[in-house]
Amino acid sequence: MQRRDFIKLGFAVGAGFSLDTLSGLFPIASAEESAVPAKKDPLVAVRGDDRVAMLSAALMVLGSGGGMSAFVKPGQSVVIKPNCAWDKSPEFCANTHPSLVGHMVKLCKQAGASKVQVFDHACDDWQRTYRNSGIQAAVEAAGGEMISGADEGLYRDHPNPAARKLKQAKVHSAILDADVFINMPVLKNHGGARMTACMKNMMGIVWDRGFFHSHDLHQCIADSILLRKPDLNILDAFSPMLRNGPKGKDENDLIQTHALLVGKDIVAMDAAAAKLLGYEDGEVRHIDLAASMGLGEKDLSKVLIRRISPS
Amino acid sequence: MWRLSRLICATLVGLLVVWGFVNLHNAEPAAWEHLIERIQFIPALLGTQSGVAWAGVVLVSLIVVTLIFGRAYCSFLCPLGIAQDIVIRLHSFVERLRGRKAAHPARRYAPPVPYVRYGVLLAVTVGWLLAGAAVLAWADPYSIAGRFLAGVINPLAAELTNAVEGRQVTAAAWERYGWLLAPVVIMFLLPLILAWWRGRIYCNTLCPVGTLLGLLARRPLLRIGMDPNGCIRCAACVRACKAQCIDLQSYCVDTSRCINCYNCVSACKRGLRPHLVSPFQTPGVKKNSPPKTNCEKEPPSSSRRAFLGLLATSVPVVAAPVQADETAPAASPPGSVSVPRFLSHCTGCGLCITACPTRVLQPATLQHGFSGFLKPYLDFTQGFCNFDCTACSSVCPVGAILPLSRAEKKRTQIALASFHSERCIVYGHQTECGACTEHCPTKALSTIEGKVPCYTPENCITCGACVDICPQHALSLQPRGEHVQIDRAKCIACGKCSRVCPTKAMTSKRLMVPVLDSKLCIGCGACSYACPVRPERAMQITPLSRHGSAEVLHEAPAQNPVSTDEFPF
Repeated sequence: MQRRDFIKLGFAVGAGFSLDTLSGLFPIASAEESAVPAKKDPLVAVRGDDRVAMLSAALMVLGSGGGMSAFVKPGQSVVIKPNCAWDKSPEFCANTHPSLVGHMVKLCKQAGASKVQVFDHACDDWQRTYRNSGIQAAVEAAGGEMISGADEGLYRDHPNPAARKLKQAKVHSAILDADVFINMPVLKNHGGARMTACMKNMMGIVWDRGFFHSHDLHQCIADSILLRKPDLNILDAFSPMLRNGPKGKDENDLIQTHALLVGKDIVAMDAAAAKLLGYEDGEVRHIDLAASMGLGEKDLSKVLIRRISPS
Repeated sequence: MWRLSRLICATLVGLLVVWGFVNLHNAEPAAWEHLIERIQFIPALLGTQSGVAWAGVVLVSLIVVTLIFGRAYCSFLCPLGIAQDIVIRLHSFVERLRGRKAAHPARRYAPPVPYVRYGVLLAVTVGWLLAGAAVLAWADPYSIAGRFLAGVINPLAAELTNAVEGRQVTAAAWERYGWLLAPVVIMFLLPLILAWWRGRIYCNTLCPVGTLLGLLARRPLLRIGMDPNGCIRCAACVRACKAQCIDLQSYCVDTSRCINCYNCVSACKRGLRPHLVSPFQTPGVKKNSPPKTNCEKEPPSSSRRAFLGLLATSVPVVAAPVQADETAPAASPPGSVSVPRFLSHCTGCGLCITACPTRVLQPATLQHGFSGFLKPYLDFTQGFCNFDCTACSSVCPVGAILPLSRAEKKRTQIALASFHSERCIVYGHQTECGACTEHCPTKALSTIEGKVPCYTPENCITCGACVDICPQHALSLQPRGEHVQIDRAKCIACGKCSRVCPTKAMTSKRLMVPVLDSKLCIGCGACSYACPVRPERAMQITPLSRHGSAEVLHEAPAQNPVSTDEFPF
């Protein structure tokens, strides 16, 4: 880390703490409490101009100053599941931004990860998608491994007894075998699910997506979290696609939010993401369903939120 | 030197053709990668017919080369010829292993079989003129080899790569050709078996391209001519000849059957080599050479005359425009302009099929009808046409799929989607889906929040209020009046029925319902591919016989719904 980055980061962390006390939304949370690891993990909301710096800053806050070493122990294997579903170039923001994925691989490697695998069960041809999204190049440059998600043989049957609809699914072996699972989607509008963020991204760890669509999409999305709960969620909300989602049809569909959300509670993450797209409470049904199943907190007034802006 | 140049060229061509047909990474093909498939005779001929400029240049060049050297194409460029040469070499090797000195049992002069040769050529030409390229698909040696490479070698290369890398690099697509591998392999093996038995007999008897080039090669400028005065009749040349076209009795090389392998040139210790000969001189005979040769005795056969006459009168038939209906039984790739045009030009070499990243291009059995056997069609149950991809049009060596810019491709309407709400999950199950709009690359399919009716017959008093208000006449009271029937095909999810219902028998759910604007649809099939409804999908694709051009919807930049000064939470 360069000295300049370190100073920036210091400001970022400091800003996070101070904003938190100023916000007034969280009377319980105070700067003192935040200095020690909170009982409940916070949701870090970052606003900035550079995705990579925003991610580093957020992880410093969430990892209590230790960054990724709070999530990845040396020798552990990591799987990162970005949204890398569409054969679209990064300008369309239809996939997680490659700079973020690459940086995440680098951070995991620095924390001592034995291997970092990245994949998505792409909707378009996977090889073109990996290439044209820029994610493959970014991952490989950072020392990660981009693996296929395009063959049924790569998926294993996984029972999901606590689910309401998705009682059984074929889940990608990399997800089931890795020590740490990082969910790394991009925020977009979605024609069916209304919004795709952290929870909807879980569809890409499963082989048969058609089952979701034909058996109550929202319920299956909520159920899919039970297949394996992500250890960390990172949501790229820098330029969310407000309409015509999720494939990326027109750069005019993007809005400039310059935000990044990082947190462990997948439901809280999506509840916050929905607000960024202007959805009212209850409009995105899978958030409510997941909350009702006890998978996370959808009431953001009960979530410890740190708002920071590096740089 | 002559033979060596042939060996180097053929090896290079062989490798490049295999390279061209092996697609492991679904990369957008580079321009140079498929040059070798374009300098093939039939592709150049059909490309010229399609009005592709470079194809005309290639065709003229191939003709000029043939007029100068003879049938060099057959040994230097033709992939099926090169494959036969490998088999012949293998045969010689096996014979040598078994201790037989004679290189090949069939290495002796054989007389030509003009009736078969010109009969096949005539049949193929007539067939081509009457039925388009359907016949060429069976006869073109490049396409016969291409299909084998596409159907067998490409998946084999994928299996090998995966085994070597120890991970899934690419899927081996054996299922692409499926049972069609049987005709593909038989068509490829037939010449090879004949080659094992009698050298290049396929090329000299059955192959119409060989026969046609043979007509041009009757008087090549650079001819392998024997000097009866210097020859000691050792017959080394005859034993070396794969085409069985050297007649030592008359000191004559039948240039119409000679495939310019130059094996004889290497074998001859007495200076047999190609040399410049006046084109008006009869092959094999030197002026005033003492032993009279018999080469002149074969007159132009009547079938050959008939063929040449036919060729001369046939040009207007080929140029006649194709007639098209509105719809077609199967879709042809973007860039092919229309299905009939496509079928009359494609030889089914399979290059586009291997290049297609989504595997929507599949070899047809009878989807295109008889004339489309083994030619590609878009199988929307297997995949969909990638919006940003122009692979098929950039690799097509015959101009059946004309090159398209990416912008043109994104507007080319090859089919039209239709939405059948009676099958749609959103209408039927009253749950959200969105699989179709998710995949639609244009703005043809979108979802809007609709009010989808949910009917509970137990609560219904059959007052008929909902039936009266429905603007689509989608609701009807059953004959005996006990309940209301919803015709989901007509329902537009306006929610009026639930608003007037006095008893909560007709309620509605706010769900995202698909809306289709056909003007924007390019018929890529993504919606139908993604639609989870079975067996009949809610999104259906109707192929267009003549391709159209879709409109593009431009929208104003999206406005941020919430302030970005502070987080909205």
